[in-house]
Amino acid sequence: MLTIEGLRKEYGAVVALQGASLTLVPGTIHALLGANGSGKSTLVKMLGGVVRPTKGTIWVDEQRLEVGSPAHAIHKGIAVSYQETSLVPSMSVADNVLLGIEPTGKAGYVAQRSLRERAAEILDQLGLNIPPDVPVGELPTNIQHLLEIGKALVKRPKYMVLDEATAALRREEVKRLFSIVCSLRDEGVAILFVSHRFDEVYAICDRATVLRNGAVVGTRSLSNTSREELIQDMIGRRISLEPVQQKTGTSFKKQAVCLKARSLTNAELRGVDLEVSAGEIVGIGGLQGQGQTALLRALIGATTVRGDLETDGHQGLFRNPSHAAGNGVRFISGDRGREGVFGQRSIYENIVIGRIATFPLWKRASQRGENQAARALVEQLKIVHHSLFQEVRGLSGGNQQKVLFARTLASKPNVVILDDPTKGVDVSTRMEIHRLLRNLAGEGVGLLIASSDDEELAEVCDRVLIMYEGQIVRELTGDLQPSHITKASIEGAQSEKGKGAETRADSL
Amino acid sequence: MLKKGLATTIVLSLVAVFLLAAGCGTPTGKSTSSSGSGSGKSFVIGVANGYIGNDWRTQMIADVQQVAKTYEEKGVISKLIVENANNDVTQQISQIQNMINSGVNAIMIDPVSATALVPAIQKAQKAGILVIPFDGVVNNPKVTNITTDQYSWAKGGAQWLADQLHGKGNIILMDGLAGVPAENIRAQAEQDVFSKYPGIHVLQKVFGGWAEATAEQKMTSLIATYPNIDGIYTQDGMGMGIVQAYIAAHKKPPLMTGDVTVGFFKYWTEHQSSGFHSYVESNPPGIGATALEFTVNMLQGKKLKSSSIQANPVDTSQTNTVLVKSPLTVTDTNLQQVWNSTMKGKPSSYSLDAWLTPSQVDAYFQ
Amino acid sequence: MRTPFNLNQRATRIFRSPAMIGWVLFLIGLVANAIVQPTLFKLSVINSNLGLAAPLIMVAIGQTAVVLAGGIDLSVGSIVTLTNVLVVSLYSFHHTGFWLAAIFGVAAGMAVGVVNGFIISVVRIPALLVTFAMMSIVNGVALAILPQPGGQIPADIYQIYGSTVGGLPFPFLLIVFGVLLWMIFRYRKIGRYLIAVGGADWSSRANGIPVTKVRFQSYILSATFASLAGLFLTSEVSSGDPLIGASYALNSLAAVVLGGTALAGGRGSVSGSAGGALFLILVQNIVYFANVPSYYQTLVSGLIVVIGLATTGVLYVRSGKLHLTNGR
Repeated sequence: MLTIEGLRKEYGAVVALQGASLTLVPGTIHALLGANGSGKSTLVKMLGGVVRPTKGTIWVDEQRLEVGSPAHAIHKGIAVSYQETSLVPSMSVADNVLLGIEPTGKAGYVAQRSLRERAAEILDQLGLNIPPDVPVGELPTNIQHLLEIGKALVKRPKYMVLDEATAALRREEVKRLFSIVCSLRDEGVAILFVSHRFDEVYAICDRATVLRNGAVVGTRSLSNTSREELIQDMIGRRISLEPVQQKTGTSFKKQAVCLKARSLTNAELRGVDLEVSAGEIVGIGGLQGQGQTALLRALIGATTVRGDLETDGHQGLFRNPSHAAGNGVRFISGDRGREGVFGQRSIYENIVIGRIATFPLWKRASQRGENQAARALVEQLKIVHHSLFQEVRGLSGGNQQKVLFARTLASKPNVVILDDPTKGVDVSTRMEIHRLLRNLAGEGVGLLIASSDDEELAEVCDRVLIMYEGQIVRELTGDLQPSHITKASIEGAQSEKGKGAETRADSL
Repeated sequence: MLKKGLATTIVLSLVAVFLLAAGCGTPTGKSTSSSGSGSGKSFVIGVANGYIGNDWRTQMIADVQQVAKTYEEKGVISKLIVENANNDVTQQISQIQNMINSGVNAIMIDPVSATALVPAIQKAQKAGILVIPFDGVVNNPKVTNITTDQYSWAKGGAQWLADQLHGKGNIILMDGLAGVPAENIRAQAEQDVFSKYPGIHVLQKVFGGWAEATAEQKMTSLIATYPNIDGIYTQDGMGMGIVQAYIAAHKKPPLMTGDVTVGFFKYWTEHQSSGFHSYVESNPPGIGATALEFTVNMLQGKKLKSSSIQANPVDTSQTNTVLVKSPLTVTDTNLQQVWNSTMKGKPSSYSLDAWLTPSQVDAYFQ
Repeated sequence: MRTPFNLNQRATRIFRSPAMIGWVLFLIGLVANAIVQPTLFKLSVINSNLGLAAPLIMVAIGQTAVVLAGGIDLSVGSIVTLTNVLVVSLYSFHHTGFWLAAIFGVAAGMAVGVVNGFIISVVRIPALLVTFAMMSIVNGVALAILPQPGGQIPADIYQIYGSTVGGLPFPFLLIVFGVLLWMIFRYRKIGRYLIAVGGADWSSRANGIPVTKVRFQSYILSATFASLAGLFLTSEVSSGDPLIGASYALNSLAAVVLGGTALAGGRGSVSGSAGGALFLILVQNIVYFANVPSYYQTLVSGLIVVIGLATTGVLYVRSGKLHLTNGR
């Protein structure tokens, strides 16, 4: 029996998990459910020993688990298949499968033959026909995820954690995985199954624990719980269980279309159609990792994609972000530190770089006039500063975000694409930024905003598109409620376009 | 497909570069084996020079090549191979080994280290190759070092200064770099000379690092400190710095030994009439050319007089060194002639140069 | 059922293994060298070439261990120097026996590795800074121990180094010894973990690999090999020189890269680095025997090395198309 008692994790002021408790019973499959940011991943990583809890205890067979030690977790029979995989790309399949638990022969040498034999066993079990000495990094994504599961299997764990293990798998692979998991259960292994696919959860799980905002809402036996009840737990508020209304634009009067994408397709996108009109704010919602970021990057030419794109005065896909910027399509990344501000440079430089970047490479970057413009923007956006020439890294997160807005405004864009614009920003700045976004739309700019924060989407957007597995499965308009967006995101699996998942589960 | 193509292209171009390099080499030819087994009249000589990064060394190698050319025309030398190491012992060892492997008759070495080359030199000697370290010395009893006699070189200048002062006066010693072998030998000579004259008082001894700028800086403060400097003893590379310090102080430089640069000679010729006197003994880059003369003679089977071979100045327990006296001394009397014949019109980095003539070298042999 | 994958596939894999690049370069160098120097395969010539190659190969082996684990060690050259001056001055000025001096010299070198490893893996200061600073410090210590070149080791030591044993050049046996020493580590867990830590540090942690310990040990390994190289070099030159190791830091890195090891870590092999080191030694021969004028030799050998590096770089990028879904 594995018992989690009052696990808490704080990252600075942010509480990722606030005292979660649950029990894994041998011979059962236990589902862990929750909306974006509910703390599922944090919990999983604590079980694996990768993340050290701020407070709380994990008991394995009446013994205290040494927290923050992956080696000890493995030693205690806990094996985790991570959502983002824990493979070493340059190492071979066999070496990866047995990484960290290599069999050693006499004198401490790794027993090559027995290593390959055990790896081959696992590959057979997973139905993988791949040479065991090919580097893992050269294999396709679905096989990498299968290997991640294989790594957990090879440890013959007493407690196995599968974090979104099925997300990247094909249907027949999921089927095979389930038969393996079910036979493990019959052998008395306890399995924690983290997934957002209800069909899969109902197909194999016995019980489900729901997390919301880092706290456990409750654990229910699935045989007498409906999907609606689970969704209710995940969303929290009492809402109508009828399908979310799908009105067509009443609040927003259509203007000229300023961004139009047709059937964008790549590894992560499965034919996305999209339109943004001038003065409109379009939100992109859905569970995390359903292709939102990939879509934004595809639009600005940061990844390779097939399909068609049309903007004001430009026809065709953009070659790269610079090409997009040159045509008035600007992107503000959610990763401020790495893809946004130049931390060691001044506010002034951070603002003017947006305009300068579209100049020819050898053009002299004149300072005249820029100074004034930058100062005006800083005033307009109320960026708290003591000098235009102070380093940006000294500003708060919210002010840094405003600097990025100033940079974007200075270049007078037609379309602005934003990824999580208020991540790590305090409440008042958040409201300010929302006001700013509305003003920007008021000036006739088209905005496309991806956010994992459903309240934010409800607050600023005219229209919200819900993504699921690389497709847009819903369009919500009219009076937007956060709970509707959350529900639609969770329900993504069951909507018309999610039927694939349903049939898959039924056929098990 | 593309991958394969690209890799092939690169590999092919690499091979092409090698072949090109090899092709360039062939015309000059590798007549090494033939010359080695021949009548002994045509020799291949390797020069392993430890460092090429300053004007003095560059001039030294140019001198060697100039002398080698006359021998090549006579058919005595069939080929001269020059290799420069970047003050890196292992690189010099590798070059010496390559010379051994290509079958040279003699290897001249301006050594990076007095000791680390010994195994490589022994290998060469085992292969029957004559090894002549020059300029610097190597601590091995079986080699013949050819080097300028630093003691007599320093003594000459010091003696001149003492004579000019008639045995009394206040002097400054501007020496090179403390701790360097050559400096130690020179300092000994200075002390030996000046201690004989109780009337000569050394005001201060400073180190100018054989560098013009350092010398000027040190001298400027000395001029301010001592109003009564009667003479200055200095070594090469620093004379012009001292003069500059005096010019800046609006004073006339006193009696001083000089240095071998064109700049100093120019000043001397121009101010000789207004009472500036000096003395320069060359510490010539030509030592390389002189060493080549010795090498050729020894290859031709001549034996050195036993009196020519003296104690190694670095390791006096070993008697393996030919100390070559400076071939040229410049004083007021021959200044104009030397200036006109060798220095005039040369770049300012040029050093007064000279090497022993074949007949002068003959005097060292039996 | 899985079908055994065919020979062709295996051949492709060997061709694309990173070590291959180093050995192909070495072979090209060997052919080019043999063209310009027909005497290349004479035993005495092989002997003298290997005498110079052995120390570089040793340093390169150690450097590979560090680079595989995602680090860099710029202090290897100074460790070579430290061992050299310690052995020589202990033997010739303090009259310890040679072997005692050798043990001291190697131990001192390893101690430098322990300090490097501790500061980098435990205190967590970037390896580039730590080992660069350590290079200056250790060079300074070496200068204090032996301010001027000098001293001498017993003649039989350097005569053995230049001789043959059972028809094989002695330095060759030393290289074999170095490679065998490496294999002791390579085929234990530490050998795999170096690659794992350098290739994906989070994944390594998640799999229970003691990442800090592995990093720590990689620097001890590199220092050990560097000080053994210092011992070999001492046998080659027979005396002490406080500047003798200066060229080894960059040359060992060049050998590692030429041998197909990724500077970012996680991919590469020691055998490739050995090939790269031999290639660097051959380049010196090639420019000499191709009669490149001495003033242009540095330029030409530099160009050859750059072309070699570029080849490795391109082949590496082309063959190593690693794609993992979640970049971290």
